[in-house]
Order: sequence, then C-alpha cells, then structure tokens
Amino acid sequence: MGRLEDIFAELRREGRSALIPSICGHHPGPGSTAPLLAALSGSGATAFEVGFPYSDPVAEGPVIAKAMRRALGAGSTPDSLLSEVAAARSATNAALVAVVSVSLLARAGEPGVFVGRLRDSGFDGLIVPDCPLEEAGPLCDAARKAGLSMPLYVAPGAPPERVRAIAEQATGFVYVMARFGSGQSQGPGGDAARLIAEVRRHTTLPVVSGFGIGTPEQVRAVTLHADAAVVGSALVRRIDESPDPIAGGAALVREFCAALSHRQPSPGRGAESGAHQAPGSGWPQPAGAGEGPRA
Amino acid sequence: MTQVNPDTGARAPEKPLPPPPLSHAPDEHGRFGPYGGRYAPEALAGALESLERAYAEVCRDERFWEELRAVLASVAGRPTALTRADRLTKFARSRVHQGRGATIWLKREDLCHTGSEAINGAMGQALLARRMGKSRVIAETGSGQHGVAAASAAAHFGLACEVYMGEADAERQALNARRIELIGARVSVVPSGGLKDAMTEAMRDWLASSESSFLMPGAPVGPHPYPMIVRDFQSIVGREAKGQALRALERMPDAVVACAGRGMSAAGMFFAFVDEPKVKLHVVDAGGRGSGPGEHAAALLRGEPGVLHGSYSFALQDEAGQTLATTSCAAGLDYPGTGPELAFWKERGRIQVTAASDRQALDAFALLAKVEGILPSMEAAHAVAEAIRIAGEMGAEEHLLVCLGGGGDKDVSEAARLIGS
Repeated sequence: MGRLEDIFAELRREGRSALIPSICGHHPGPGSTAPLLAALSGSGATAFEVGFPYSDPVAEGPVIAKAMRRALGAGSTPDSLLSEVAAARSATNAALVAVVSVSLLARAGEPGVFVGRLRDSGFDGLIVPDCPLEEAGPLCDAARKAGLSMPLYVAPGAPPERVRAIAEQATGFVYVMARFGSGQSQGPGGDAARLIAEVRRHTTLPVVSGFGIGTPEQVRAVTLHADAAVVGSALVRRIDESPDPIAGGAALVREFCAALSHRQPSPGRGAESGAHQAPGSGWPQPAGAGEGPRA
Repeated sequence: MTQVNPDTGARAPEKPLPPPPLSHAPDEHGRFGPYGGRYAPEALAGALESLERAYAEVCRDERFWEELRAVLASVAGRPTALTRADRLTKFARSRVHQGRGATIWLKREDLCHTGSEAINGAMGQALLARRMGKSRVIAETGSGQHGVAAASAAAHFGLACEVYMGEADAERQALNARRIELIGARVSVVPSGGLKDAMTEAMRDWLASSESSFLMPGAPVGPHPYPMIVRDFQSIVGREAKGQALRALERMPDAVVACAGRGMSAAGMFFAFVDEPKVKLHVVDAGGRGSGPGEHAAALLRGEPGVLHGSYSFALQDEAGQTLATTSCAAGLDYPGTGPELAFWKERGRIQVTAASDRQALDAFALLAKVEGILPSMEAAHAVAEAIRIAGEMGAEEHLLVCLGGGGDKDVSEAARLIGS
C-alpha cells in the first residue's frame, strides 16, 4: 500500500481529517522546498501537493502563478525540483503529490517518461491541473503502471455521468473543487458538500476539497464533508509575505490543522482501504451542512 | 473491413480506403491527426462542452449563417476585393529571368471593417456568444487587430468586452489599444507580457467567468472546439478568394500564400483550398532577427510538438517544456505556438513552411506601399515578402494569391522607428 493510502487509512481509523498544503516547488527559490516540506510536516501536515513551476499556468490563480514566475526566475527547472524532492524524501514520511502541467509532461515524451521520474524522486501521486477527464486516459495508465496515484478533479456543475466517470477513473483520492478558479477570496461554494456526497456515491476513495480555502473557518467547514482540505494560495501568500517564509508557512499550517473537523472513527477498516469496496460500506457519511465539528 | 469471398471463404486483401479529405478534421475529439485536443482545466469542461453543443446546433441552423452573412455584408464590408497587383508582379518579375514570375493577386482583408480579417471570427463568435446568452466576451490580442475586431463585434451585439494585451504590445500597437478603449471595451494590460501572456490571462479570466462570459480567441488555437470554430468563421476569406479567382481566371490559382503566426490568416485562407491538390499552399512564419532561441517566432517552422494554451501543436519550448521568448516585428505573429490544424497540414505535407525575417517583412511593408499604394499590416507583410520570392519561382502564366490579412495603419509609427533604426 502506498503512502497516500496509508495516510488516509490512518485518518479514517482515528476519525480525523487532514490538511493538504499545496506548495509551489522552488518557491520562494531553489533550495527552499526541502526545508519547507520538513517544517510543514512538523506542523501537522501528512500529505502535500508540490506544484512544478510552469511558464504559462492557465489553471492556477494569480498567487500561485506569481510564485511560479518567481521560482522560474530564480532558476527552477523540473529536473532540479525532482532532485530536491528526491533528497528530501528520506526525511519525511508525508505523501507527496506532484502537480504538473500537461505541457511539461508532453515535452518529456510518452506519458510514462515524466511519470517515471516522479516515482523515482519519491512522489506518490500526480495531479495534472490543465488536463480534463477526456485527455487523462494515457496519463492515468502511465501513473498506474508506475505505481503512482492520479487524483482527478470534479468541478461544480459537472453532470452526474461525468462525476461518476471521474470518480471511477481517479486513484488515490478524488479532488472536489470548492469553486471555480483559485485565489482564496471567496471560500468554498455552497454546493461543495452536495458534490462531495455525490462523489462518495460512486467511490470509496477519499474525497478532498480545495480552491478558495483561505481561513481556518473554511478548513473546518470543508472537512465536515471532505476527508481533507487543500490550502494553496493562502499558504503561498503567507510564505511570500513572511519575513521568514518557512516559519510563516509553518505557522499557517499549524493554525489550519487546529481547525480540522473530526468525524466518527472507523476502526479496523484501514487495511482494505486501498481496494475498491462496495458503495456505502466505507467512509462515514458526511455530516450535514451547518453541523458543528464533532470533536 | 476485410472482404470474404462467399464462394471460397477466402479473404481478399484489404482494400485501402482513400484517406479522408484534409478538410474533414478535426475528429470528434478535436484532433487534427495527432494535433489539437482539449487540454483545459477540468473546471472548463462544462463550458467547452456547452460551446461544442451550441456550435453543433448553429451548424444545423441556416438562420444563424444567414444572419452572419448579413452582418458580414452590411457591417464588416464583405466581400472584400481580390486585387491584381500589377506593379508588385512587375517588381517580382524584374528580379528573375524573363518568362518567369507569376501574376500576384491580393485578397484585400485590409478593406474589412476595423481593418483586418479578424472581424470575420469576431462577428461569428459574438453572434454565437449572443445565442448562448453570454453577456461578455474575453479576447486576447497582440497586434490589436483582433482586439479592435472583438470590441467592435461586441459593441455591435451589445456585449461587454475585455481585451488582454501584453504591455509591450500595448506600446508598439498603441493606436489599436486606444481604438479598443474608444469602442468601449476594456484593455487589460498584462505587465511585462506579450501575446502569449495575453492568451494565458484571457483563459484564466474565462476559468473564473465562463458562466457569463465567452472566450473569443483571435486565432484557431486553444482547446477543442475553438480551433475548429475560429477556422470555420475565418474560412469565408478563402472561399470568397477561390470564387473570385475562378471568375477572374476561369481556373484555380496555382498557389496561395498567407502568414503563419497562430494561424488566423492561414487557416482562413487555406481551408477552401486544402482539398485542391493542384493548388500549392505556402505559409510564412515570423523569422524575427535570427534562428536562435528567442530570436524569432517561427513555431511552425522551428518548433516541436508540444502543448500550449489547450492544444497539442507545434510550440517553441525549452527542453523541459517551458515556453521560450519570441521576437517579431509583427506583434500579431509574436507568439510561441500555432494552431493545431497548421501542424496537421505541415505533417501531411500539404503546406510549405518558410519564414520571412523582420528585415524582409519591413522591406515588403515599404515596397507594397510604394508600388501598389497599399499599406499592409506588419503581419501580412511577411506573406508579401515571401510572395515576391515564390512568384519569382513560378511561371509567368501562373497565378499566386496572397492573403493580405490586414492594413498597416496601426504599424506606421512602429515601422518608421524600425526602418529608421
């Protein structure tokens, strides 16, 4: 079983939810990713998204786009980021999910090429933010062959058959977008809870939610329903604005982790959580909207 | 399908099917051969699907095309002239042996409302946007030609319009930036960016606004179905030119030239000709100042397959896939990629790809102004530059059509600066 599966199985046993910090690799500069991962792990994060800086990030909000520009300006390349993560890998047992533009993946050649490099550098999963379900097939196959998870996004407004297809094709977890775009200003949309419940009807995979989550209150609200909350722009902005970027990021992660909602523990289910289970037999039902944290 | 002889049961060798005509692209996945596709964030899947559905609907609705024809005639000024360029022909012939040198004809898209062929795609897309109930259009522009066209089309149909323009382009094409604002659209300048960054920003805008807004690219680029839709709307240029040539020559022209860039001019001009194997098609990339990385914008000629802005095509990228900087005196061609259909035509050997340097384009800009009294856009000047060379390699009885995609009023001060330097 991979790290991602282990982590979500443990969360389930203990009735906890998780915070997934989404960082921009090599932001604020090369050399910062390894200490940042270590510091954020120490602050309570057990899984991360690591964005690979790309010159034309259509899928990213302004904060992440700016961080990517800054990283590229400081000399970041996919290869140097892979090396830095590989060196940091032994120091943390956190799950690492790479967020890589399809442009970088396509440039490396066949889908398996870059996916293999990700695996060799210690990544556990791959998210491709500018690749919709229609184009994801070859990458999902390559990820499966390499033993990497490939979570897919579900966007608000997706028709039921699309939600089902995404839930069936995703591995590792399903990522429900709390709202369109990114940039932490508005917070999770009202239909995120409904969408998370819909996804759970089709899969026993963990469901995480992100986009627009920028406060502890939003973390609490979203983890009433989702197994994990992804926080990206707010964290990257804090890293950007702090005199000590790593300490600033770690403080935010601590603060947000403290706001995570708890749920009914589900003991004894950890071992089989990697396999597909019959719908309804796995994850606890999400709490109703407006209900307070259970802990 | 394998045919089985009913008497003997023996299998006859497979009869190869004739390849589908080149115009029968893209397929239902938006693929032109291997190129194209829909590499957009999942959050745009719904918007792209509803666009695809809406376009399929209007394709079956003759009233839509009637309305578009009427608008193009009464507002955009179609049809535009096909001008026999006698003095340009004479110039081209003066440089080659006697008995050589094709007659050059200019498809005068500079005579369109707003001064370029961009109005065709803008009017078509604005009409489609209105059909879809959108209240706002988002455009990207380099030269400002598409920006002005989008703003004018939006004004005509009562839609709000936001135009993204790179900072350097807003300076070197300041006239068009001002025009866009005068027409009532908003110019969003992308700091330290160019056309590529304008496109990135336009797509990111749409990511957050697709419920009310229509993304209106100025070229057959982007995720499916945009390359097909923009090509279809632009293809009026080639269809018209073909009819005009047939009337004037009583036969097909021998060759057609258009500039490359992202492919607005080339797709629009060539689409009516791609299934006419005797008509040679020449596309001219922006050669800039040299052939090294960053010195040109010749994505089709010198780029390699890659994904940029939603489709798989030819792109100028470093070995990791990061987009390279580009250089061109033509802001509208100064882009590190090209439309997937052009990549497909190149791979199938249907188009000849060359480049004209900044210097050659500037020379052609000045020459056409002097010998014909026609000021071409700096983008179209690339096609003119190569047309002079190509005509010289053709016989005197042959005919060469050049897509003069736009006028050069917008380039007057920038050309003076560049020629002076």
